[in-house]
Amino acid sequence: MVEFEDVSVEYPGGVLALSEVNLTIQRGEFVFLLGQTGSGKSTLLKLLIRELKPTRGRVMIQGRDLSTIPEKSVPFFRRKIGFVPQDIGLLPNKKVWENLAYAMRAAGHSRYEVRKRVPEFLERLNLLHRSSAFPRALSGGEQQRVAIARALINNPVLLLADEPTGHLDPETSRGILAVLEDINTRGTTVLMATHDLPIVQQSAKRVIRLERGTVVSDTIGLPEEADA
Amino acid sequence: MLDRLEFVLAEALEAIRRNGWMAFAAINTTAIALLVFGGLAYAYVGIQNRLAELGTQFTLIVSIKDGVGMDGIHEMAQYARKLPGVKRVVHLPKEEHWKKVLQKYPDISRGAKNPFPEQLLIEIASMEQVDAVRAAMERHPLYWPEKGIQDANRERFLLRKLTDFVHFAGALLVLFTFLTAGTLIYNTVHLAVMARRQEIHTMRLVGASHATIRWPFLLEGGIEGMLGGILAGFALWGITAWLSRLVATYSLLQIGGGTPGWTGVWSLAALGAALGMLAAGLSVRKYLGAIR
Ligand SMILES: Nc1ncnc2c1ncn2[C@@H]1O[C@H](COP(=O)(O)OP(=O)(O)OP(=O)(O)O)[C@@H](O)[C@H]1O
Ligand SMILES: [Mg+2]
Repeated sequence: MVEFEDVSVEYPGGVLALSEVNLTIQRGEFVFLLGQTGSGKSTLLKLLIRELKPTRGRVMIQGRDLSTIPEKSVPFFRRKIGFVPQDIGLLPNKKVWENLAYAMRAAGHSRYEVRKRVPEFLERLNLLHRSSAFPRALSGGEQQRVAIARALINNPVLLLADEPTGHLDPETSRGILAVLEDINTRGTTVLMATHDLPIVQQSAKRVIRLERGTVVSDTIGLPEEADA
Repeated sequence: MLDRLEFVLAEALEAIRRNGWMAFAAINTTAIALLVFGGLAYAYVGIQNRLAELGTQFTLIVSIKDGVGMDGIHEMAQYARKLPGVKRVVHLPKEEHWKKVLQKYPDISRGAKNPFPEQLLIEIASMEQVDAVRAAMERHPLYWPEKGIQDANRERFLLRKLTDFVHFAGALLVLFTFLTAGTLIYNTVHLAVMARRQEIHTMRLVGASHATIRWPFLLEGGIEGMLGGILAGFALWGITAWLSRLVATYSLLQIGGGTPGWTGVWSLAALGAALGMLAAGLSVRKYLGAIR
């Protein structure tokens, strides 16, 4: 599903955010991308939605080298991928259901589909009772769930979540993780960036550890000595 | 397709609404620019029509004093026929003239007194002889100086001068006002792009096509330009209707008459829409790409 071949990203100004990254993620996997702040997690995810192109190396999804996608096809490529950004990015002057409806309309869905599916998403993410609230009136966990719902509108094959438990208490974090696991069991490949050690330790899943732009370990579960 | 249009149009209207005062300024400036353009175009067409009417003949239309009977008119016509270079002399009865005006502007001329004099139309063989014939007619005792002589030759000359003015000064004026209006729309759309940074970001994130992101802004410019054009069209309609009334009532001018009507409104609306979309397109090209 996802392949990185000797991928390096250098930002203007000479910051080497990723260096010689190699990794493969199979269809249907659930993978944590663990690393401290500044280790390059967001950069790696941005490569996967083609917001960035690698300075060197190749990033491939379903066998396709992303740098060969012409600019005008990028939007259609993005519809295969759900992205939950680190800053959540809900529209503050739209209600919860409007945020979803707007994203669906923008992504090319008809009004009919919007009417039919927005309630389904709200129900699935347990947000029905908050559907007429504005984002600022939501708790952190609720905001995160709206962002996840928005990432699901195109039925993505791959879901990328950038620190979705970043500012949440352990209880709420486990709830968010459960939501992502549920999405995963329905067949979507999930890649979740995090620096939340307890969350990673509690679930025996594959963990790719990133340190200053390089992959330092790739294991199932977390080795005891780890202290990211 | 219709579904897409609905989304894009709703976005455009929302952008205009949010941009209230800027949009208002852009619409009005565009209206002024298009009114200038429309006025000049209207004058230009009027001048060309009049020139075509004048043809290439050398003619004078001489006014005869009020109250002169048919004998006097015949006597004056005979006098004219004897002048060197005169090919043909025709009596233009004032009743005929008035009838035409009554037909063309029935509502405004009804009940008024016929303001026209009896006239002689004199055709002259060559341009060099016109001035001599004119001078001779001015000396005739039955000539009415207050109503004067219409000189096709002089009129043509003046109209050509006027055409030159419309061409050059007009082109400058149109360029200037269009640039101003275009700049205002350009800036309005720039502000709209800035105000919708978050929406643009979200749209890109979920895979909105470039067209879906771009078209609301193009439409915003197009709608603003179109509204300006409609305003200008109605303003021009009103102004020319008022002018025509003056022309008909006092027979001040030979050019003009009639209004551009709905054709003018639609034409200026289309022109405004094109101007607006062009300005918006340039703005979008410059600013949309920079939004992340
Ligand atoms: N647009 C940019 N221009 C220059 N440098 C950048 C840019 N974005 C990120 N960087 C740098 O690249 C490195 C990796 O950043 P990145 O955002 O990928 O880290 P991260 O693991 O997501 O961190 P965090 O946990 O704080 O989100 C950092 O040193 C960061 O300062
Ligand atoms: Mg990050």
